[in-house]
Amino acid sequence: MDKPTTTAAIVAAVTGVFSAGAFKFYEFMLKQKREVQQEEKAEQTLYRDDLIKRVENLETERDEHLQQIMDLMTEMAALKVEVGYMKRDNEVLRLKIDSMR
Amino acid sequence: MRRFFKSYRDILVYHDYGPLLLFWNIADLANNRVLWMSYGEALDNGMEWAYLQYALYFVVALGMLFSLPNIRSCSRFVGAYLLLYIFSTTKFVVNVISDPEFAVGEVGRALVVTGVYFSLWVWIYVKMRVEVMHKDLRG
Repeated sequence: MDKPTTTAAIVAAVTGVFSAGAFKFYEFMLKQKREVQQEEKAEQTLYRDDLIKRVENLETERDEHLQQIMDLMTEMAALKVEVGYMKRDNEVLRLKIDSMR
Repeated sequence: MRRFFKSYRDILVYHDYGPLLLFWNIADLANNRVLWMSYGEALDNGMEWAYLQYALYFVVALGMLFSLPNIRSCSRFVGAYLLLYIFSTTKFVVNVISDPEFAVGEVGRALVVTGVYFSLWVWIYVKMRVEVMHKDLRG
């Protein structure tokens, strides 16, 4: 390679390396800036986020309790039916005993 | 007057480079010497290195044209084009400085035009890279 070609190749390589470094640095700065912005935003919305979380928890608890009430109501209905049958059996038995006396 | 210059700044900052790059690429490919000259002719004229350089320009411009929808790949080709541009301009400048016989004709004008084109490519490259960075950061 002649002198101008070598010089040009070196200049191009150095420029490429420096520009890649500069872009990396710019990317780093951009990332830092964004992180700071996100932190500030998180601080600003802390109270709101806490409320959202609490509402979510309360809604989950409410759903669980509703399910429990539904289960209890089903069991109660079954017990009611059973008690009704037992009452009738009891009445029948009482009548049988009375007739035997 | 300030508003007038601000509108130019806004053009540089906010306007897109896509259509410009597309038309430039097509013009650059059509204008490339590889299409109009054979390697044998270049060899006869002692221009084999220049021919190789043109061939590289051709490949990079072709890559740019086909990767235009994918900004990440396209920015790599634009970067390669810029490096080639720096290489050929530096070679030209070194030739002008070291060889007075080489510096015939309008060297100053050629350098000004090269400088303007170089700014254009730098503008396109920076815009692309910044866009890629913002995309990466957004995830």
